[in-house]
Amino acid sequence: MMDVLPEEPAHVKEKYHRRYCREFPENTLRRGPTCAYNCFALAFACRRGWVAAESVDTILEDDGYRPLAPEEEALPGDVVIYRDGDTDEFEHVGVILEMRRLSPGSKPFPYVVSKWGYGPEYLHMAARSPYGTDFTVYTERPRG
Amino acid sequence: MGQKTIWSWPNIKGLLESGDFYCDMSLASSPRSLYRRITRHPYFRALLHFVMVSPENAKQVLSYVRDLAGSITGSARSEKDIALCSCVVVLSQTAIPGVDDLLRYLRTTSALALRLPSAIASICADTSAKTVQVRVVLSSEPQQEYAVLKEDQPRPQRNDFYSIFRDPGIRDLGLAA
Repeated sequence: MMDVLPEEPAHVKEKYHRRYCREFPENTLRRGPTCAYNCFALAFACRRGWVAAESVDTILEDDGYRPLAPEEEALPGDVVIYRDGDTDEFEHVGVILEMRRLSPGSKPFPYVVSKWGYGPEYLHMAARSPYGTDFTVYTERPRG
Repeated sequence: MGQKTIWSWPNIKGLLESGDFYCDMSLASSPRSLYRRITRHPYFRALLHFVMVSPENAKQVLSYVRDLAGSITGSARSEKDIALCSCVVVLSQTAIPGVDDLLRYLRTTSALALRLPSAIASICADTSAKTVQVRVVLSSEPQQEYAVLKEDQPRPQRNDFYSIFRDPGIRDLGLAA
């Protein structure tokens, strides 16, 4: 299920920074790029190893994750999962840090920590990443 | 009206080895998602286009991949890894002599530095993409557009040429410039 890939070369770190800071200037860089782990490992394996997207279904089932029901409220610790629009395969995951309101009284949106592929780890609103705005909140909390 | 290439190999190689392409592809969280991202990227389309224009171009790409596969060492990754992966995907769809040996080598190698291209080669084998049968590639001079005709499509007369580009069926091939 896990696989360790080599470290990201130092010379590309600046490229990542330039690229994604320009595209999403409001996001906070938590740590620089590394191939030591991916987004799935960050969320499900304590940042250890490279968890294959093909294994995520098994992980969700084994760990008792379920999609959040419409009437339930997302909480810190839940995860947002992005799927490929064409194939429906798992594409990305972020861990919710807080539910943030963009203005008083507005609907709260997930603010997450996630790692972008081989790239850096960012703190960002769930809809502010290159993975799009279509995501589902999953939780391992018991229903009710 | 002969065959015409828009892109030269140095241009395409430059794109494939660029930091931009690398950053785009680095968002992939697994080799399979890398494969998907590669096949949807415009730089990959340019490479596919280049390879389909002539068997000689495909040979050039094959030679590049062989050199690269032999020269990538150690454990560090770089832009060239991603370029290599892209070329592997394109070459897996061709029937150029030597491609099978190359893909077999990549799929069986245990070299750490080739782990990513190796995973991509395995995915290519799994997806068993059909080799694209290209009969003729036409290019309209003014717009430098392409039409790639499959084997089962009749070769048009010169007068019919521009109507090809208005044919949605041709455009749907996704290969027009």
